[in-house]
Amino acid sequence: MIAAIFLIVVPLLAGFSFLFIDKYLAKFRKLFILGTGLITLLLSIELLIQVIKHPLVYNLGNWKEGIGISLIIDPLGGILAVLIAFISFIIILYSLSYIKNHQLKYYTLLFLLITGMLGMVLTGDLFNLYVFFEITSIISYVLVAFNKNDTSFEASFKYMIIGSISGILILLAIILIYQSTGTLNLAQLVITARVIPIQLKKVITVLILIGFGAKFAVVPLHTWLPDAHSTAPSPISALLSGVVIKVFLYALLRVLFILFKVDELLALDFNNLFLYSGVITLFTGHLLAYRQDKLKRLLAYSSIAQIGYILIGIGLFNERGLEGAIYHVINHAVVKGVLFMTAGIFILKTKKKNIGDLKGVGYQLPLSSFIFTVSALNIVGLPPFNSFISKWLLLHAALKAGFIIPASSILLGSLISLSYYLRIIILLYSKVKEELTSIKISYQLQLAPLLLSLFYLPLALFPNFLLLLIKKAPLFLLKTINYYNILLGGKEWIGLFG
Amino acid sequence: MQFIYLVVIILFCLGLYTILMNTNLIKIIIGINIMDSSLVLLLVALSYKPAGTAPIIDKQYSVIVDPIPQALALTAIVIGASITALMLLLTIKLNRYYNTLDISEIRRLRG
Repeated sequence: MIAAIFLIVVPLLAGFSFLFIDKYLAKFRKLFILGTGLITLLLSIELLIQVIKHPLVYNLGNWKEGIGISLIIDPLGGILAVLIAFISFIIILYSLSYIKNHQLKYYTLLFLLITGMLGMVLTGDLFNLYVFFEITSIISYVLVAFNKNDTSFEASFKYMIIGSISGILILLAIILIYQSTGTLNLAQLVITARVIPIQLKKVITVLILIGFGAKFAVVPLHTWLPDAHSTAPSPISALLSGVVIKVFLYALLRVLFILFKVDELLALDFNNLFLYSGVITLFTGHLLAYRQDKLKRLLAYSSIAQIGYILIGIGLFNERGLEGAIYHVINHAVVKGVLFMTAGIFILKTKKKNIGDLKGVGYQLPLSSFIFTVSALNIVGLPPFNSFISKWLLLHAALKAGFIIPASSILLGSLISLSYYLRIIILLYSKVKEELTSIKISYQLQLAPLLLSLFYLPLALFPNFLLLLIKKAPLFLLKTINYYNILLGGKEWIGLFG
Repeated sequence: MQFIYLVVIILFCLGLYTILMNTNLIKIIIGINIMDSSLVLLLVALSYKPAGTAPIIDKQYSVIVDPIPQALALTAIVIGASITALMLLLTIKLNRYYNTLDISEIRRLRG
């Protein structure tokens, strides 16, 4: 139970005490950074083990339930907390050898970003969610501008205009919810949301769809993402693409399922909204990625496309679809993390940002290129890899529910992505006229992508173990009465079909 | 009492109009600020009661206002102020690199 609050406190405290460590105990700087990342990871794993057995509530300040702010952690929150802590740990490992200047600012902001994300998945209070939402957003704006050149400032400003308007819309939605129900606790809202008139409910839904949708780049609102993710420093791109957008997606799902029951959502045709916006997002992402000539921009557009896959899984509003979507969230976070980190190594070592200039880099940077190739084939969804499993689950769920167009677009989208990733792989290993010698590269820089890519193996070989964890998530997301029962300390959960 | 909601709606729409219709960076920031302020006004208006006092549990104070919206308003003001500060900083930097405040001329990122 203690792990829940320490998961937020540890990175927050580390972020600000890093100012002190950097000034007076500079020797222990690396140890401190790595230690904080490791402690956060261990705490999140401990929390997940507890939560899988029994979801828990932690009341801040020991107030009674519903008066103060409480943290409510269900299996989905636990899984996402582990994912955030794990990817962040790898990113910290990578940053130690990648970021050479302004380390003080960088690590302070990075720890605060981790705090914001963990807070968003652990909190059980609507307004607290908004506060962590804004913390995550503001830190993201600053980190996008971290390179301090004209394009990064431009990307950051673009992100900030769209982001702050979306924040205002979320705040308006929260005010409307509070005004009509008189509560901000997410679990209590499960019961009290019934009193909201249907017209007002629709207004609130539109506000949160636009507000959170702009943050996870659903297609008409995606324009900031390729700029922001491609101009940020590579470790930050990996974190933004890998986990930050997924956390905003989680927030949308949590609030949406609390406001509406699943039958109400189906009656209002929300499944078609999600499914077809997923299809549009998928094709826009893939087709725009196809015509990019900068490597990181291509990866950013590919992230938009992967959000499309996840939206299709969610839009089915059943157990299978959600399982596939959550599995794809995990796979994409891991694979896109590796892709951005290796792309960062290419850019750092060869100073080439365009795809056309990557000719022959496969001979200069053999290990990084190999990792990149494996990851690219992975994210396309070729059979032996883990992304294949999650895409298969999504496809299976979509076909089972009878949605032919989304199911076929999953296949067609993967085909498009194969074509543009194959172009890069061919360029990497094509011969050039002049003699190429391998560039010297420190093992530390390659350690993080290598470590993360080793996780493809357990993800691909033992999907059943992970699916066992994931199978517990829809119970609390779709049947929100179970989420309410966590608050009451209940032990019995109502089944999905009960 | 209903009058205040009209003011909130007018301010909100005015802010949105300012953001959509201007190409000047400073004016866009002003628009976002107006939208933010309208929500703070809404929060304060929601908790207002005629002759209401601070929520102290005592017989003297019978009519009390709801403290939660006021706490939310404070948080919203803080977040709005920090976003404004960051935006103004970026505007200074953008002006230094692009030598203009017109957002339609700041577009080196394409595609």
